[in-house]
Amino acid sequence: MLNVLELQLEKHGDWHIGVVVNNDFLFYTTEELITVPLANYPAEVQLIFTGKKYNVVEHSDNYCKFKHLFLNQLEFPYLIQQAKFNSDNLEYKVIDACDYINLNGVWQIDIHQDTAEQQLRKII
Amino acid sequence: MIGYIENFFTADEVEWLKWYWSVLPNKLDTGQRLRSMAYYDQPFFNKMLQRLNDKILPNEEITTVNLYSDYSPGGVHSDGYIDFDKKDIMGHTYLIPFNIDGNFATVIFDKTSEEAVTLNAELGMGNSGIVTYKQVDRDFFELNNTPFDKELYNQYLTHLDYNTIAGLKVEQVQHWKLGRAAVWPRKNLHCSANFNGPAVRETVLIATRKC
Repeated sequence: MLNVLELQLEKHGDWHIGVVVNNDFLFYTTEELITVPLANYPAEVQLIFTGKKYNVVEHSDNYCKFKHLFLNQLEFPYLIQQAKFNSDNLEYKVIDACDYINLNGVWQIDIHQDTAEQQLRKII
Repeated sequence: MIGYIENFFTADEVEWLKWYWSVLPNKLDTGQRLRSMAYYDQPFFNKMLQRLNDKILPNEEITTVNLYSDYSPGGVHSDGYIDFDKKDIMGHTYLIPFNIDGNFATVIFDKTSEEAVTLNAELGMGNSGIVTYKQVDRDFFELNNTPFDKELYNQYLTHLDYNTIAGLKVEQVQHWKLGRAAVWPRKNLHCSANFNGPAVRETVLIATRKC
C-alpha cells in the first residue's frame, strides 16, 4: 500500500509501455492500470510509450490518456503538473504536465519522499 | 453491539495509517490529544473509503473518520449527534489503534445520550479534549449517588473525580489491540482509561449512522 504509484490510463489502440524507475527497467505492460513500486526516493519514474506507427492510417487516432494518478492509495489530480513528456516528434519535443499522449516517447515524473504531503497541502 | 472486530485493519493498513497520520498537514491540539480529520469524504480518499466501508457493520454508513494521537486521558462523553447529523439514527463508534506502546483501554458506561454531550466541565476538565460537544451535568443523566465500583475506578479511572461518576455503571472495559476495532453504540457514555504519559496512542475513530 505504501511506496506505490498507480497510473490509471484510458487507451485507444495498441500501446506498449515500458516502466523504468531510476534507470532500472522494471517491466513492459499493455494494461490500463500500471502499478509502479517505488523502492527509493527520489524516484524518477519513466513510462516509455511505443507502438504507434505514424505511417499506418489505423494508428492515427491512437492515444493514451492519464485518468487517475494514485500515490500511496491517495488520488492526486495535480500530480500530473509535475509530469513531462519527451516525444519523438521534433515539433512537440517536450510537453509539460502531459496527461494525453498520441506520440511515441517517454513520459516522466519525479516522486520525492514528501510528494504526497505536498499534494495534500494543495487539496486540503 | 459492544465488543470487538478482530483484524479490522491488516498489518499493511496499519503501516499505511501510520504514514497517513505523519503526512496529514492540519492537526488540532484539543488539550488532551492531537486530532485530524481523515478527509474520508474527499475524492482523493476514495480508495481507502471503499476499504473502510467493507469493514463496518451491515446497514451502517460512515459519517466521521478522525485520527488521534493522545497525550492525556479524556473525560466522560457520548459520540452522539452534533448539529450537522442531528437527523441521523446513531450507529456505532469504532476505535482502532494503529500505533500504541502499552496496555490501554476504553471504558463504556451504561448511560446514553443520542446528542453528543460531555461531563468534562463537571469533572473539572473544562473544555479540554472536547471542543464541539455540549457540556452537561449529572442531572442530565439523572445520576443517583450509588458509589462507582471502587475496583474499576482504581484500575481505570483515577484521572476522574470519584464522586462525579457516582451512579454510572460499566457495560464493558474494552482493551486496545493493534488493528482491532473496539465497537460500541455512539450514544453510550464512554471514557479513556487512565494512562501515564508519555505514551504512544495513535488511533482511528469511525462514527456511523444507521441506513
